[in-house]
Amino acid sequence: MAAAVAAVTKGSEPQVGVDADGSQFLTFCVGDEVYGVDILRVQEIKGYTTVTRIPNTPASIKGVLNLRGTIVPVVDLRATFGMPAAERTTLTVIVVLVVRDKVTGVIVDAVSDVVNIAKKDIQAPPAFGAKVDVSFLSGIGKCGEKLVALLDIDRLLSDEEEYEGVKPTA
Amino acid sequence: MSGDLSQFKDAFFEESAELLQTMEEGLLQLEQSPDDLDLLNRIFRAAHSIKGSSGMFGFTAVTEFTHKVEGLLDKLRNAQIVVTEAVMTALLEATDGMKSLVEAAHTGQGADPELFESLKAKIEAVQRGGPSISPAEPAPAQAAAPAAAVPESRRAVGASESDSGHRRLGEILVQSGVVSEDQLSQALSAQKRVGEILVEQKAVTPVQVAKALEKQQQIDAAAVDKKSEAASIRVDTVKIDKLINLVGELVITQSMLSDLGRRFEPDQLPVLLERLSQLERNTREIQERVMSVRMMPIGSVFNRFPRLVRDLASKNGKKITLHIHGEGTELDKTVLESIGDPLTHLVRNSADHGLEPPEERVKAGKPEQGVIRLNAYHEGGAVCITITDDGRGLNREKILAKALKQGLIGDGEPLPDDQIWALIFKPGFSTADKLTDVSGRGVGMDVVRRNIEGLGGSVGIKTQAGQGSTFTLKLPLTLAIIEGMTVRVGTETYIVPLVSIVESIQPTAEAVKPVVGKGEVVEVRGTYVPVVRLHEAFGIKADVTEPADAILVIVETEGEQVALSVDELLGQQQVVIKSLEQNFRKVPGVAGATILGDGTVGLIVDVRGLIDVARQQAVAGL
Repeated sequence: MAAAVAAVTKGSEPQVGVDADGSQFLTFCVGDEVYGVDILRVQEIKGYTTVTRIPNTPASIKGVLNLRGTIVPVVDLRATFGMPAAERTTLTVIVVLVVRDKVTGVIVDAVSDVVNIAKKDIQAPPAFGAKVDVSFLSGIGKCGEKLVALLDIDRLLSDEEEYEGVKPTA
Repeated sequence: MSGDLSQFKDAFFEESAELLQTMEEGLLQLEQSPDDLDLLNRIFRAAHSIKGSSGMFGFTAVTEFTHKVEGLLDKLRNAQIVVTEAVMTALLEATDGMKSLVEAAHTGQGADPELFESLKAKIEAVQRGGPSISPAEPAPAQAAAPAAAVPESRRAVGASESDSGHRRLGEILVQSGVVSEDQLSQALSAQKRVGEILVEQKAVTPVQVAKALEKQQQIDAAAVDKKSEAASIRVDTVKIDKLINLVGELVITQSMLSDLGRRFEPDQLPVLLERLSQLERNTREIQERVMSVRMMPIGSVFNRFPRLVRDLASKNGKKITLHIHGEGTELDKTVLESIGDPLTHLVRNSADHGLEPPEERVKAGKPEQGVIRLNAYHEGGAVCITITDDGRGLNREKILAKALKQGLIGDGEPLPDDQIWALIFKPGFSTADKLTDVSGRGVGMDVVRRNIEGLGGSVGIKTQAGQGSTFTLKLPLTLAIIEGMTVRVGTETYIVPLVSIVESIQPTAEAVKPVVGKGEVVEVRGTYVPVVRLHEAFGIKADVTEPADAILVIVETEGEQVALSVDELLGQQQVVIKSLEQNFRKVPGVAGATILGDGTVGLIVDVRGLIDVARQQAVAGL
């Protein structure tokens, strides 16, 4: 897993000056990759339940679920990252994040750990050119041997919202 | 009657306390931003509401004193005097005075007359005086009011913000004798606004500036709205106690059930069923009680009008009958509380301006007795309240003349009737020739519109000269619960609001006819209704794709009918509306969401939006 992340980040120019302070991150897996989000943005972690589809929205928006009476949209990170869909397993969970006062769920394959990453161990996201979109990353964190791709959830989730969704049928 | 009235008196005292608080806060803010006309209007409205309600209950001391305060505020609003420390002090002291008067009315004790004489004198002094007096000195009777002459620059000159420590350049220059006040005001009037300069430089067009200004106002208004949103609702403690009891029972039932569950034997099934039914009973009762906390019949608002109308009639020497219908129409408590003031204003307007004095009525060939009708009813998904009088109707010429004088419209502009009537909703607009205790200052109608639009409703006017006027308030049932039909399309469940459903049919194959291209219509008793395939509009898979085999739900919106094709009707139920926008955004064709019996989310169909979505798709498909 870590090797995969390392492979992806290989050949990058390390840059310093990332805005994240040394802090704690919740790490989770999507596909073979390890991602992290600032722990302070995580409201809770919830087992996977069925979600209700919302018509005419992009595929990355899986639907909405009932979180103790509040309607919460759920984003499928696999779809967002352009990965193939995966089977739901017992490890599949929904990480509930708070983004600018809005609550959003994110489906991930499994949560792994809460890690401390010092500021000096965080590098700016590598530039991949036009092939891969790294704008969702706020940096790459080093945690022992593992590399963690730190998600800029503000950007990630607000981009989803900007989609305007009436899809014309042919 | 006395028992009834005391109940309303309590409401009045509570309301007055709130309004006085509003006034005080407003005044304190006004000191910081003396140019904020909206703020001033808000303070004025608060004072006006206190005056109106206190008059209704016969607290003449409060009414009279507030009338004086209002007079002062009115001068401020009309820029006859300016905001100075002295004026603000007088106003704040007057607010305190009003507070103690209201309190005195509450306890039934008389207020100290001397104190109020001195307060009244102070108010009169600042009214005459203008900016220069300090509250300690007696008012020099003929202090000049330079403000009236140069309204544009007056605030820069006169409104010294000595309390905030900030001094304007002009003031300092005048004080140090470098320039005279005249020179300063000339310089100030030569000064241009940013918008004007930009227009001159051709950087922007006047339309763009106007738009930006409009936006600025909206932002300001939104900021104000946000502040006032944190309103609370008053609930009788008895109701809350009952709820607490019920919740207690619920907890007991729950613990009994979990106890039973821990050591359950198959032969205890009857016990389990019994406890489950007890749980169901508890839950239902709690739900009903919680809802009852919010829903109240509109009668509780209507009840105060007979007295109001009677008093107004005797005061103005008119004969008025009040007819009330639909008191049982239920409304959300918050909505109900917010419509009290606008309704009072409208009824007052009808009695004061609308209905003519008996002689005039007789002359016009109408019965001496004027009639005001209050009616409330449900229409579609909304509650309508109408206030009808058989008086003289709105006076087109008078409104136009007044609007012209106030610069609201240009000369010789032909205006459609609707727009003319809309003029009466402008702040400060009144066609009454003289001010009365009751109405005529033109605060009423703008409060009405503001309050109603704040609730997401609208105000309509119908009027005919000599025949009377009808004001229609349309309030949405924004609330909480709707009656819905759950329908299934493929694996998805949607809720169609019952109010928009006309009927549901299973069409015969012949009834469904294709029209050019890919649309279909279905014949329902001689009329042709276009078919919208719900699964296509929402881009999902359905079991049944041909309308002829599906169930068609005929829905109506804005007088337009369409047939929604769905797989199955699941049933009718009440659903609690939850916002999708809270955490997500608006979705075309979806009005909101709800939690279904199995805990999953069901989407509520927005019929109007759905038709639009289907239309767009049809256009894109062609």
